[in-house]
Amino acid sequence: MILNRKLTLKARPASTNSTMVSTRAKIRKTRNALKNYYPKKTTTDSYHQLTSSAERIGSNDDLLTEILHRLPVTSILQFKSVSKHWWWLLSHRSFTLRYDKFPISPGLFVHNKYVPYDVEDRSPPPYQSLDFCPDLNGIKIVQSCNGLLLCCCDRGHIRDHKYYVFNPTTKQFAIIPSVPGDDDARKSIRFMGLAFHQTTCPRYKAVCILGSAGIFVIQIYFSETGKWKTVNNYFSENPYARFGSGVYWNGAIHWNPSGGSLFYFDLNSEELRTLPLPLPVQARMTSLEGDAWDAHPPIYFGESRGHLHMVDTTCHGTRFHLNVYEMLGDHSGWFAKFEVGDDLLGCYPDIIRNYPYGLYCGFVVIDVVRGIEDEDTFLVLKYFRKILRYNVRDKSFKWLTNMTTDFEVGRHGRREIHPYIQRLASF
Amino acid sequence: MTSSKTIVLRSSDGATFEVDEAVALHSLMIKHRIETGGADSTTIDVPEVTGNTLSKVIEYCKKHVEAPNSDDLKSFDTDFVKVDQAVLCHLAKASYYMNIKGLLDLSSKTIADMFKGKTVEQIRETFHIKNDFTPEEEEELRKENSWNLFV
Repeated sequence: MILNRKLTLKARPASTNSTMVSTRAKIRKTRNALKNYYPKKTTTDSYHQLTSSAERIGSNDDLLTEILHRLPVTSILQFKSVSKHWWWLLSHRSFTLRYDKFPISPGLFVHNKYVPYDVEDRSPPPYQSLDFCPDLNGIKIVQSCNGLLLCCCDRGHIRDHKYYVFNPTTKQFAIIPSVPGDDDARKSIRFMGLAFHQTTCPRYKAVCILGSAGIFVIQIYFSETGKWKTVNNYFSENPYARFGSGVYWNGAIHWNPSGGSLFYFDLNSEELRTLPLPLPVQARMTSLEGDAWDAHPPIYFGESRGHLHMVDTTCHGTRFHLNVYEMLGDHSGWFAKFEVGDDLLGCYPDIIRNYPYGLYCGFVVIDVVRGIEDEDTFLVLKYFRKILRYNVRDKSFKWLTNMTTDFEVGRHGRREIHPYIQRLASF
Repeated sequence: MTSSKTIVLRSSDGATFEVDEAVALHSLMIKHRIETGGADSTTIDVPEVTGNTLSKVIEYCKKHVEAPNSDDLKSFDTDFVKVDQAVLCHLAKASYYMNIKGLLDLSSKTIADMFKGKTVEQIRETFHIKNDFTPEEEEELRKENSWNLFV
C-alpha cells in the first residue's frame, strides 16, 4: 500500500449543527437529594459510637478510603447504597480519580459476550454479556478506549447509523451527534474513533474520517462544546484504503498498519503524521502485496496501561514467533519488548499448517495486557474458537473460554473483541 | 562495628518496647518524630495503638527491615494477616497512624477481600451504620444503576 498524501489548506464552513439529546434528570434528582449532605466530623449518633474495631475504621475517612479503593468496581457501585456518607465518599472525584489511576482490565467482550481473564476468581463477573441496547438496530462495539466503549448500530442503513459512547461500569452513555452535512456525508464515513483518557483527555473527543473518490477529510467532535470541527486540510489516499480500528494513545489516534494506512492523527496539533514501523514489519509489508499480505497473520495493535503495543507473527517452516514491540513515548520508533514462540509451538505443534496458498498460523493475538509489574503481562490468544491466556512470567497457559460460534479477528483491524477496562469517573 | 541505637516505643496502655532504631524508622511517623524531636527522642509515645497491636507491628517492621529480600517474606506477610477481624482492623488503623505503607497495603487489601462478597446490609451491620436514605432516594439510586443518558 503506497501512501499518497497531499495536504493543502482549504477552508471549510464550521459546523454548528447539533442534534444532541441532553438529559441528566435521573442523576440530578439523586444529587439534589444529597446536595445538602456534608460529612460530619464528629457526631453522637449510633453511626459514630465506637464500640467495635470496624467502627474505628468506619469513622476514619482516609483509612476507609484506603480499604475501599481496593475493592472491585462492582462492590464500589453496590456500597454507594450503604449510607449517604458512603455515597459521598465513593462518588467524590478524589476517590474516583485515585481508583481509576491504575486501570484494571479484568476481561474482554467477544461479540457482546464477556470473557473474564481470571478464571480462578470465583466471585461473580461484572457481566455475562453486554446488556446495552439503546437502539432497535442492535449495537456493536467499535472501539474500547480507557474504559469507554464506542458503539454503533449493527444493522440498518449506514446513513442512519448513530454512534454511542458509553461506560459499561457506570452505565452512563452519550449519543454523538451526526457529522455535519447531508446523507451523502454520512454515507461517506470511513472511520469513527474515540479519544478519551481519564487525566489527559477527560472530556472525550471523536474523530471521523469522511472520504469519497480518494479525498478524505478529518472531523473532530468535542464533547466539551458539543460541536464538530473540520480539520483544515484534507488528504488523498487510495480510494479503497482501509482504516482499521483506531487506538487512542498519547494524544493521538493510531490505525492498525494491517489496514494499509501508515499514519496517526495527533489531536493536539490536529496533524496527520506517518506511523513508524519496526524494521522487520516494515520490510515484510513492502515485500508482500495484495493477497500475499492478506494471507499474512494480522498484526495486533493495541494499548494497555499507557503502553502501545504491536505484535507481529512470523512463521517460517517449523519456527513460529510472536514479536511484541512497544512504541517509544515520543513516537520516534519501537523497541522489541519480548518474544514468544517456541514453547507455544511445543504445546501446539499444529498451529502452523502448510496450505497451497501459504503457511497458516492458527494463533491470533487478541490482546496484550500489561500488569503493574512487567512480569505480570499476559497475551490473550485465539486458537480456532478457543481463547487462551499466555502468562509471560512463567510461560504458562490457561484456557479462558470456548466460543460456541466462530468470531472474526479482522485482518484490517476490525474486530469483534474489545477489552473491558473498569472506569468509575463520569465523562 | 557501630552499636545500633535503640528506641523505646510506649503504647496507649503503657506497655514499652525497646527496638532497634532502624526498625522503628520503618514507621514514617516515628521517623518524623525522631528527626524533629527534642532531647528525649529515645522514648516515643504511640497513644493511638495498644500494646498488643504495637507488638505485632514491631514484629512486622523487624521482618521487613532485617530481611527485606528473604524468599519467605511473601509467606510471612500472608501468615501475618491470618488473624481475626478485630486484630486486622487494629493493625490497619495502627499502620495508618504510624505511616507504615507496606503494612497498610497488606491489611487494607485483606480487609477489602473480606468485604468483596458482602451485601449492603452486612456492611451496615459490620460498621453499625444506619441507613439514612429515604425510600425515594433509594429508588433513585437503583435507577442510577441502570442505563442513563448522560450527555
